[in-house]
Amino acid sequence: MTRAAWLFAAPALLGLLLFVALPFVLAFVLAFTNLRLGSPLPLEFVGLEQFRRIFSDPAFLRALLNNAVFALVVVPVQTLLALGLALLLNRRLKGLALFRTLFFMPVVFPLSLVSVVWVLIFAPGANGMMNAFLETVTLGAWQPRDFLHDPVLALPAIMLTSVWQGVGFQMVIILAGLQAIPGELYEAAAIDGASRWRRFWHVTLPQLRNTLIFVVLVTTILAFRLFDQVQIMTQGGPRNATTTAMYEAVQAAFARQQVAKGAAITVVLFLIVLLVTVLQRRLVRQEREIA
Amino acid sequence: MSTVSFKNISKIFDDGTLAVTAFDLDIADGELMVLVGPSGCGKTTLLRMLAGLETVSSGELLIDGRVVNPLPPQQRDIAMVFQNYALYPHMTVRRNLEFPLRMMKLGKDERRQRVSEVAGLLGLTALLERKPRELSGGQRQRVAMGRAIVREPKVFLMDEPLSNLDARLRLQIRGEIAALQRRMRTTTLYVTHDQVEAMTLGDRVAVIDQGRLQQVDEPQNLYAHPANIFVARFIGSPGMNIFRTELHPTEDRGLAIDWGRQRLPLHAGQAHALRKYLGKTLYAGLRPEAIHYPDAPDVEATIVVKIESIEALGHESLLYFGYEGRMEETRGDLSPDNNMVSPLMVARLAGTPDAGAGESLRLGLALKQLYFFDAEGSAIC
Amino acid sequence: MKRWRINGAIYLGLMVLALVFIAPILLMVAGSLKPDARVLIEAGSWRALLPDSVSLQNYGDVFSRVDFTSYLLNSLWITGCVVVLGLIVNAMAGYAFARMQWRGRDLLFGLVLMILIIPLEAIAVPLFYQVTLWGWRDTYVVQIVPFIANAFSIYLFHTYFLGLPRELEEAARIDGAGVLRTFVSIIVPNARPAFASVAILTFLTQWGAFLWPLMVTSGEAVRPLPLGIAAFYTLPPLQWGDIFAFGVMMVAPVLLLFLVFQKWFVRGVAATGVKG
Repeated sequence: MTRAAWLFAAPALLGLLLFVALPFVLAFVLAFTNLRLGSPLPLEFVGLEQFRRIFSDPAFLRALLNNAVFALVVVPVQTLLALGLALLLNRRLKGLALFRTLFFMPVVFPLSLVSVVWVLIFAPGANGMMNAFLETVTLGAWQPRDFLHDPVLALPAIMLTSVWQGVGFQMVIILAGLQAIPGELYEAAAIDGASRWRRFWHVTLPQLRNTLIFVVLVTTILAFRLFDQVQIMTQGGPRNATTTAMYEAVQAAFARQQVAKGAAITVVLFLIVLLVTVLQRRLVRQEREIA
Repeated sequence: MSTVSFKNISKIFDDGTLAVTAFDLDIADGELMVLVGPSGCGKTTLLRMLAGLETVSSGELLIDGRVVNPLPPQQRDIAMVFQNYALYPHMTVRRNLEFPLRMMKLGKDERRQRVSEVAGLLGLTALLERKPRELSGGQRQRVAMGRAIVREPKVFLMDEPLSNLDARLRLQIRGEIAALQRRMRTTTLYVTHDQVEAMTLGDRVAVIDQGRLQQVDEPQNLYAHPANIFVARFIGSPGMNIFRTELHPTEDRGLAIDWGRQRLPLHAGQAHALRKYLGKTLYAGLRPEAIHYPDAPDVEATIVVKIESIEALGHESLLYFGYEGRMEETRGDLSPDNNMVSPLMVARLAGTPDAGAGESLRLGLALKQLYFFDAEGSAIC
Repeated sequence: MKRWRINGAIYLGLMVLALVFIAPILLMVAGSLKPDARVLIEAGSWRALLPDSVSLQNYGDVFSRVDFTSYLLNSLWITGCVVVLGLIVNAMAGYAFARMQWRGRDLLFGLVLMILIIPLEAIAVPLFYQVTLWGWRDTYVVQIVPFIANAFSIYLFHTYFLGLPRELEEAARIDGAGVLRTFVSIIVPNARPAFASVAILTFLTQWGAFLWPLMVTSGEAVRPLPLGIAAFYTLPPLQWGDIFAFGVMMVAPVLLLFLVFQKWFVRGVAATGVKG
């Protein structure tokens, strides 16, 4: 039995070992060296030098700030929007399946394609779709802007693009969470005299707690992995207004051959992901203790 | 032609639970052996060890004289009917029946032939192209039986095969299994917790408690000569009434026992066998069938009892009663788990008695049918 | 009466939202069907969302300006390999973790769960260095092999297999099937939802893969569609009609699959939410 089991598990375990565990360890090793592809300098361990360097690099600090701002805005906006859509769709009305399909559709679009399409939406001048739309809804008060080259508006433009593509994903997860709530709970609450609002507050939200925590976790991590949109829409510009940790890592490792610096950045990235995950586990565990 | 032997089998689970202890049992060729006992007694573990689904901790398992301990299930030539049937949900009835034959690498014609035979035998012919979820409980049970029969194994294993059926179907399929087994004469090990099922089906019945074999015998002998208090109380519906008692010499040099505050004289034969237990703890037992109305023919003594409750079944009634001194005797432990004495006595009476709960009633006892057990619970004489 | 009004309001709200959601898609589809120049001119009006003239000119232009077929075949080949091999490898591992008894199982599964939280981004740079050393750059292999084994797929399969009744396997073993045969004939056919979820999630991830191919490929020969559209978008002259035609063709296979297997897409995504 043991031999058969090893044979069953071996291919996957080998893959994870070679392509996740090994590079993961390598990241920590490389981050403490001066490795540079094609460099004549001998490879040596430089301690925390790379970390000192990235944390004194204004571009990287700006990148972390951008990731954080992105998370702080997109996580609540996208989660609330997804929750709202899910609540709207979680009822027995004709035709809602069609709306679910429409809201979910952007999820199957590759981010690269989405980015390209939204470049046109954010086109400068009065002819740009977003400019024209804003002009219409503000009754002409909006002055056309060049979103993707505007230091203030470029990051929000990327945020909007991301929310459009990603909200359907969260919506479906929340919808599944809503549908897993036993109907008896609502009936019991109704019999106890709870109003619609109170039922939402005392039944729906607590029951949805773990789902929402999960959605927030995934969206937060996604915010720190942000890359495709930046690469295609703004290349980190203007003046680092949209650069991200991952964009800096790729620039370092790929464009400037500074593998060690890139590795140091991804180590920081991993630590952030780990922190967020641990935080989420904590929150979920608390819930279990209370229950 | 197959025999099965358990030789000094023990099973200790990884978590340290002792499931089976030093278990010996020989099943003859063609015999239908029933393992019966309360849930958690180890009977299913025994079956699963024979199937090869659990490892054996110590001892030897033999099929046809060959040690099968190291063999995986597929090499033991056995078939099994599971409690929940375990039909393959994605296969039609036909494919389900064919599956073991495919594993035996039988040709297409032979498979067809055997499947249609078995389907005919079990009345499944019209259902062959259906999926399990389109079948009723009884039909699923038959398919499970069919899948076991079709490969003509050395041994059938059945793990509570009737427990998922309603009472009426259970009765019907019980009859069908008995008829089928008589016809095929395949050695069968049948596990159940239901002693009625065990008594009606088994050529022999092995009673198991706490991982140990208590007694193995033909059903009538189990009823007539229980080896210990556990068997006496487990077999029969309801089981035997057991009470703690002491021996007292009588004026005519005989012996008498106490039942509560009443004294019951013993027959000379009984007294002879029991004389050496004078002054020792003793348990006495009387089946509900040996308690009658006072005017019945073989009544030799009467007692007055206080009725706790009556279950009227129409043609007969089960009358539950206590007796004076019961509390001291059970040491206050009236729970059904008290494994020596019965917390409540029960009598099986014809018709419906002319009294209700809380009232007193005089009952007659057939003292010839008294059983005696020593302090450890083993039968005496 | 009141209920009718509430429902009306819900429908109205949903309709407005839906329009916002599909506007970019309409823009793309409509734009791909009209002359390049008109796309930009009309971008600021509602006419951008409607194809007033239908011409396949842009689609033809895509093929004459870049080797779209090559991008498409590369994407199909890479995604297909990762999905198929991933299903086999991860399902087997999930089964070994869920249902077999072996030494080291619990420890290794714990490690798999820890690996689950490491995103590709966190290891992309050292992995890039690693495959460079191995001389794997600019190949299909480098885009396929690292993504076959997947901790999340193993986890999904593991969860699903745990929910299958154990008696199914036991019955198969007793009926004479060995471990591999039991897995193939009994377990796999009864785990279709798990296979569908994993296949869809893997497919979506791979079809959209951008970062990794960007790092490890430089020649056009092995590059997939996402790099294709990024390159096409920067290829002068900037012709939006052509770009949109490229986009429509790029997303069409996914969209088609999505509309046909919508139920499974939704279930697959919902399945990612059960962890935690």
